[in-house]
Amino acid sequence: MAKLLIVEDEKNLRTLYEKEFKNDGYEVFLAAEGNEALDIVEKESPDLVIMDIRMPEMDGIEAIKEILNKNKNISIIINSAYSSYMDNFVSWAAKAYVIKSSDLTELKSKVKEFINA
Amino acid sequence: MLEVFEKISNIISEFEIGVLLVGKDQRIWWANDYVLKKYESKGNLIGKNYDVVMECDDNCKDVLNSSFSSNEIKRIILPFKSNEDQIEYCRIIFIPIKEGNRSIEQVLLLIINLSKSEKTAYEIFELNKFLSNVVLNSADAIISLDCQGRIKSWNKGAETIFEYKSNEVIGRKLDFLFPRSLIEEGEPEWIEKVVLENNAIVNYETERITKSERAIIASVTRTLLKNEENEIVGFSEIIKDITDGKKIEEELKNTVEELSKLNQIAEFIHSTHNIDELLNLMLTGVTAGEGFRFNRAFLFLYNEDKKVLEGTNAIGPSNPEEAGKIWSSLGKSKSLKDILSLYKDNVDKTDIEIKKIVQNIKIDISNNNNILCKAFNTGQHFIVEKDKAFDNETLNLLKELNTDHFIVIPLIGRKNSIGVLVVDNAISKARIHEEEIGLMRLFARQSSLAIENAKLYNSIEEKLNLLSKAYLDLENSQKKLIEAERLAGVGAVTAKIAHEIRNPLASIGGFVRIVKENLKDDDINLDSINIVVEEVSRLEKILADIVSFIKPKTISEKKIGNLNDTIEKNLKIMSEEFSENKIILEKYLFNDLPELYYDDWEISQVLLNLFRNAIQAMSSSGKLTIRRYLSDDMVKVEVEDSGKGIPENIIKEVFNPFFTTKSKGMGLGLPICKQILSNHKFDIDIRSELNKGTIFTLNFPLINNTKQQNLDF
Repeated sequence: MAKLLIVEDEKNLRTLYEKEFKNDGYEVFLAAEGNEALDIVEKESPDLVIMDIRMPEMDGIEAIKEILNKNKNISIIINSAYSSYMDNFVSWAAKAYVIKSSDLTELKSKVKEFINA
Repeated sequence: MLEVFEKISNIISEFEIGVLLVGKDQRIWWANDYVLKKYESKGNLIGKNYDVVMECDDNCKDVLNSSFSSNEIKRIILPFKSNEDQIEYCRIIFIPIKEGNRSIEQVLLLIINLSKSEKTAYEIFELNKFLSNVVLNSADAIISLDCQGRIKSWNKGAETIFEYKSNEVIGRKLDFLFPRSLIEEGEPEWIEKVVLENNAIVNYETERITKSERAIIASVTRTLLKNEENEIVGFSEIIKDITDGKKIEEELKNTVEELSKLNQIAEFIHSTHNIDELLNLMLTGVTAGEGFRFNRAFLFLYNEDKKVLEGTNAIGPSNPEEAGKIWSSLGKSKSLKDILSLYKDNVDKTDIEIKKIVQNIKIDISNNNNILCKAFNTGQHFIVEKDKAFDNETLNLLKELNTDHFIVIPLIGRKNSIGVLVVDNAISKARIHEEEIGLMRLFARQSSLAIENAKLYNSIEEKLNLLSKAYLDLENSQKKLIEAERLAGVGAVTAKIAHEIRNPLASIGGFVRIVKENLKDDDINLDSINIVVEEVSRLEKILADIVSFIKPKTISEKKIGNLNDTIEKNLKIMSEEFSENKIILEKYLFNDLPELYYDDWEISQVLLNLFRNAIQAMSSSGKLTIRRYLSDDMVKVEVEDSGKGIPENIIKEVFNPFFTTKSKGMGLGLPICKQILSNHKFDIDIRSELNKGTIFTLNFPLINNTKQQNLDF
């Protein structure tokens, strides 16, 4: 079963993604901010990380850098309410950039795409 | 003999007559009691010099002395000192005493006190003597006339003024002093009448003629003389020669007139800053009848770049026939001000011939043989006359200007000469006087300053225009900047709100979808849940629009491309929507237009937006026309619909964000288009007519575009 780390500071959205992706058959780990995410990456070595950008403590951009420092092979999908971070070159290290939406179709298809690859 | 004296003196002493016998040695030999008594205080008179008793003047001494040599009895009147040192007038009768054939050894002096009336008469006599002296020697002509107006006396002043001697005129009437014209006008009779009616005419200014037929200006005062019985006994006439004073006064008046004329013209020429107008006014002033009255005037101005004097302007007739026409059309009654105003309105309509002549003349200023250059270089004026012209250069100039004389006057500005003014009386041939030149020089000076001022003013105005244009540009870009900042401010707030909304919206939508998945197909809540799902989607789309307007795709991928391809591609995308809405498409796309440098995706967004707007404007059926052509160094693309059109009052608003007339949509379509285009330094215009349609024109300038491609981004 593929391991999925969802980094999201909004509790409700975290719950939503947990439900949806568990339902789709992934093993889901949750983190509310960057530091927490780094711990999980170390312990669980997830296959893929869904990363919010705007977060308290360590933000997504910072977290992506740290994660890729530890493990270059982890696929990261940025899932942000902001399109503006597309320009940040750190974002280019992510496999995809999905703008947050209540419709999870795009996000799900990207996850599927990179886990299978 | 002394006894005889005694007897006589006793008789005459009753009459208060003094008697003295004076010897040749001037001593008193004898005096009667009257004298002795009178001069008791002086002691014994006998043997003393006779002047003890009388203030003997030279005349008296002469008379006394002469009495010793002739037998004549002489009389004089003499002031006497009385005892109280009062002056009394006495008549003295000198009687030489001759005894036989012997020489006269004594003179008897009878001293008779004058009676009061005799005294007054004497005083009057003295006064008369004094007055006649005054009259005689006066510088004014003082003439007395009898009742018939014949000259009775004619003083030295009259002789000097009129050059007639007294003996030439006594007994004549005064008529010979009047100029013929005044006699014809009846002045002599008129003066007589005035004098008889008013007893006098005082300081009447008129003209008189001297013996040598010189006219003088005279101030005449004639007074009626009457005796005590009020009968007319004659006239006195005083004539003052005021010719010189008058002349000065006249000259002064002329000068004042000329100066005020000059002032008037100067005022006029200073009133304008238009050089052509100024030059015309100046020349009009020189030639106008109320101005300097020259027939013609030519203006040569110095061209600094070419170092030549250039014929610039001229006024006046080029020949006598033309002169007749012009002068008769001008009329005589117009004042200088009228003429100048008239000219202001008719600039360039007259004097074309003469302007042509003068504008052909150009003279190198180093050519010092040329009289115009000479005036220009030396600052002196010259009178040039054909008969006195010495060189071919000047003769040629006379020929060119078609005149036999002219005056050249330098136009001197603040520092240097700026040109010359040439005036002539080619038509009337009137001589030009030296006095006129002084005034002309003054006028030329004024004009030069005015010309310099106007030039200065023009160059300042030019600079001012540039400055105000620069300022306008600055203001415009400032406005744009402020607008951009305002939008950026609005944008920042809006973006913040949009993002804050997006998170909760995502979780609402997400959970509603989960709930929806869990519902059975016949659940009564299914419709409601579907509505929530749809509405959340709509909200998210709105947020996406807002966010993309505020922060559009930042990395443009500009490439050289052919707009036609982009247009065709997007028309193809829209083709289905066109046919659905029954829209007929007309294309007029010129090929072979210059290629442009642009982001294909972004321009496509613009075109799609315009196409969709067009469809909405036409609601159901209509015609969409696309044109592409080159105009004014711009590629232009027009998108025309046959829709309902946009009311004039809101047409300017359509590019403002959040402005919309539609029930659906955020009003961001056209603002996004505009923003995309302005990022490219392209532009968009709109024209619209109600119920006929709207035309959007996209302008793609060629400059600013392909050339700057590497600087962009």
